[in-house]
Amino acid sequence: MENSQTLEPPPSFFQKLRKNLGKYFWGYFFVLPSLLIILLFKLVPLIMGFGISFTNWSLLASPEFVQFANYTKLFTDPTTGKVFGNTFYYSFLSVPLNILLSLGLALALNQKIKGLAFFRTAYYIPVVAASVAVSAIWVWLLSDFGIFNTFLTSLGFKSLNLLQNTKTALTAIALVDVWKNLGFNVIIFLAALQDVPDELREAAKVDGANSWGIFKNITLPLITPAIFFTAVMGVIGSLQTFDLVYNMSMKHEGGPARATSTVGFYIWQNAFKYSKMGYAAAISFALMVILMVLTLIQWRMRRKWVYGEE
Amino acid sequence: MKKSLQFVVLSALIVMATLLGACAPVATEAPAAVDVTKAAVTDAAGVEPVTIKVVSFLTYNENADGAETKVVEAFQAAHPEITVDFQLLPYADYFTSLKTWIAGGTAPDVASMDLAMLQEMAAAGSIVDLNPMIEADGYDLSQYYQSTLDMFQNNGGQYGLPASYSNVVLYYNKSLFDAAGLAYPDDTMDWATFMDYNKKLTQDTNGDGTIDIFGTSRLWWPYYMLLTGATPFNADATQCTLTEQAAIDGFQAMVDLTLTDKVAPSANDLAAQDDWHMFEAGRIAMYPIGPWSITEFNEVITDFDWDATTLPIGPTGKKVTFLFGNAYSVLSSSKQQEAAFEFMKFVTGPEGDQIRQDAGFEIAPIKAVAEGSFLKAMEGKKPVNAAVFLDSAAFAESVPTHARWSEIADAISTQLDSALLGDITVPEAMQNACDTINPILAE
Amino acid sequence: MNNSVIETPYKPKSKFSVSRILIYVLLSLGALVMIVPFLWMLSTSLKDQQQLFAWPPNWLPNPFVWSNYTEVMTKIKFGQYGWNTFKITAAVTIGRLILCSMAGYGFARMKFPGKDFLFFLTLATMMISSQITIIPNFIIMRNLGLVDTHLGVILPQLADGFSIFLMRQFFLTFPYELEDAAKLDGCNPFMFYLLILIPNSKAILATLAVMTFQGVWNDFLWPLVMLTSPEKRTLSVGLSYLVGQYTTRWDLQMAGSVLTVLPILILFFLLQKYFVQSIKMTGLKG
Repeated sequence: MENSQTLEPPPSFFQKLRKNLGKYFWGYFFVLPSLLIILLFKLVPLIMGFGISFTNWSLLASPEFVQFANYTKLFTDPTTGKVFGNTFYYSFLSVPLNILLSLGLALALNQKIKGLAFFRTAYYIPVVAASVAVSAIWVWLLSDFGIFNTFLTSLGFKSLNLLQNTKTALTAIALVDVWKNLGFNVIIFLAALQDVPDELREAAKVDGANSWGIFKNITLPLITPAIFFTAVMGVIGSLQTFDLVYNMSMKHEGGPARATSTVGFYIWQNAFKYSKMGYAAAISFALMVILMVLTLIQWRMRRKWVYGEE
Repeated sequence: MKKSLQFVVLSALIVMATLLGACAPVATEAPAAVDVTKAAVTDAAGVEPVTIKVVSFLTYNENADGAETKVVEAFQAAHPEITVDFQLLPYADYFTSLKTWIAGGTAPDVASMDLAMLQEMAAAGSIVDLNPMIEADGYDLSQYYQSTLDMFQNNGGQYGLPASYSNVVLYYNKSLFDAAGLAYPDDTMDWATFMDYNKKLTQDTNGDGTIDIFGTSRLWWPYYMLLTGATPFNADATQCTLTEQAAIDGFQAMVDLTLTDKVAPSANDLAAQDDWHMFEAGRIAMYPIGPWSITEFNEVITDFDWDATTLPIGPTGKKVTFLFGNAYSVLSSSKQQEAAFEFMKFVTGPEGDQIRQDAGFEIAPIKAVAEGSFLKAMEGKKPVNAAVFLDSAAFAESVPTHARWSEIADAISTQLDSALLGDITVPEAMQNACDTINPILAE
Repeated sequence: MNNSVIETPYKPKSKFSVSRILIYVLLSLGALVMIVPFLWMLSTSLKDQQQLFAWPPNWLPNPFVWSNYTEVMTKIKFGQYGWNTFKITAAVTIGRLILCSMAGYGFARMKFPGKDFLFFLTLATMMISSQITIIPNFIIMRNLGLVDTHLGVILPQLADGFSIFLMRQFFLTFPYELEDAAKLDGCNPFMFYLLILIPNSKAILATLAVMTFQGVWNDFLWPLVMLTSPEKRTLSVGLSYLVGQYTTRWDLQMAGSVLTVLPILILFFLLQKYFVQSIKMTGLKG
């Protein structure tokens, strides 16, 4: 029951808290266990990492404070530009491609077709296999005697040197990334499509809507939360990409000639290969700032197009 | 209200982070709790039970089947007063793990290292100079091949004792030589003859425009630097010297193999089949490789006869081969350095080397074991001229050492990639490399 | 339970319409592209060492060497490592399903101060490279005395931003009617969560289960630095036995990779029926 208006001083913080505690309690109840884990094991290391970025820690010796030296280096080193440029290209190529293809696939797979379980599994297998094995196979498949080039030569073209060519290596790896992660988004979209209640669709059909109209006005809006998810995760994931570059570049060098070095890879290189954990942490934080800005933009815009966001 | 709650949360986080961060010991300080309690139990007189923690990647592969555990068992039998907590680890990401443990304060007392790891840790002060203990003990170093000891020195200090080593020799496919009507190469082969053989042996057997058989294969690029006596930097590591003629000549010889003379497979060719498998398939006539190939090549090569000789004399008249090796070192954070040294003497000594050699893991750095066991183990196996592995130790060199070698090497390798693709010339590559390296040397 | 047929821009008129065949063809081509690399993996895993370097390369092993599989399983203690990996993966999967679905629901539907800030914080934790956090995490684990324990491997993974975000997005689409009905019935939020939300979210939960399982199963670096005792190791670490200092046994490595993939695929198959589910709106009216 609502309190009637009386002439009283406005309630203090604690009074409000106590009054709303019942309402707030549930919110915290649900999120606190997860938050504790995340706080301790993700946030604390994050803050520690931030501290490390102001040192020259090599992991082997005691760290020394170098103030902003790492960040200065970050902004003046030409490699930084190359590496970030590679990464943005990689992301802009793979994320939209992945989402469009996987959405289309999910729509196609959501029908009553024979062999549904087989198709679903087939599209998910690349996600499941270990990066090391898959990368080795793709290096071979893209080589002179691999499928790609035998296909080209059978059509009369000359075989293309994709991975050892500074102009095409990164694109090749980005496409392998799409191949590998397609299934990931497919099953997310499939789950989203399942949640579109039949009743709504039936009702719209009864009202005379055609299939495109139903898709546009009912299905699509209801799966926008999933699209938002895959878009945000796609950006966050692809800008940090490491595994495929590490495994597909010869001798794990991010080459040829740094053509395939992404930020994620460059961070690993500095942290564990060059023993410059401080610099690696600085790069990591620069990337994090970029990611936060991008995510914030997407987040702010979400109410315009994502269903269900309050 | 919302804002103040956010503030409270944030402050709590920062406080927590500081507290936990403060607990984090800084690398070389607090060792694992175990060592501390064990070290506290110390008697002034008599032998007290001691535990040392050892990690190693030696023999952790399916060829040598973890023989290192037998070495440790033998040591335990001989030294019951020292307990060894031994862990055999994969080579993959070994250094990452070791660095994590050092940074996290759970560093072992003894660890195996390869050359690059050891030099980096020596420069950082994470491992001890063994010379004082060697002198105090009167340990005889002459039982080792000198080059294997030199590898693991830094600034005059001996930072590791070699446990195994490999060098690179030249295998040759006799059938291909017979078919081409050429005499087999021997240790007098000079660079001109080498290139001549290469050109005659490289062929496109099915006329489809792609080379099917290559004369040779490129070695890891530092070889070509050592070949002409070039160095990446000057004696006190302040100036990049790659722009000097020796380096340019050496790398030009390397690039010529693939780009100009086309007698060695390019990166593109290697993606279709790596040179290791190419030799097994009979597609490389002269293959530079080390003793880790012996087991597999003997098992799988049935189509042709092959033998080995030393690498050719280089274009400037110098003969050199690569030296790889693994050593054991004592970590500076260890509280049991004497016990650790006892362990080191055994595992890198004749007893340890014998067990490892018998398991077929690389070559023993102890002359007596190598000459005794290695050749005997090679009886009935190829290459028949197995003595070449031991002979090559005389002119074996290893990669120059520097605390930042990893970065320097990557800088050079990046430029060489471009040169091998023909995007830039070798002098340009060297100039670019020096542009990157000089700032690193200056730091 | 009805499998809904979603209307796509193409409306098949009969079972054999052109558009339907087109869809089949495209799907099959796509599936082929997805699978072909695995055919090569399978093929390599069944070759003997000499077949590995046959030139030109062939796709069909001759003969089929099944012993690669037995060799891998004995060289690497597949039983023990597999069990370790399964324990860890199952614990993390179950933990994450519970914790993150709760948090997802909290962020999707509850109101409490700092909600947006905390959610963004959760997202932010996904933006820091794992290369940086692994050492601080190891230090924390050392302080907690959990190094070289399975619990230490499991604990940090029990909740993560990805799962919470995923759950939140899905719970946003949950019909309000069900929640309102439950409130009228006197359900508190936890009962609603347990008795209505979860049973009606099987599709997304199954999805999250498979994704979590696959991620943790294949994880390499964290178990590598945390688990030093050989009997505690996981499969991915065990497989690196085949990667030597100088060479790799590809036939065994591929056999090992095929074996490692199997449990996840089995899980995927088992959960297939959960992927197909629609929200029951009936039965809750009134």
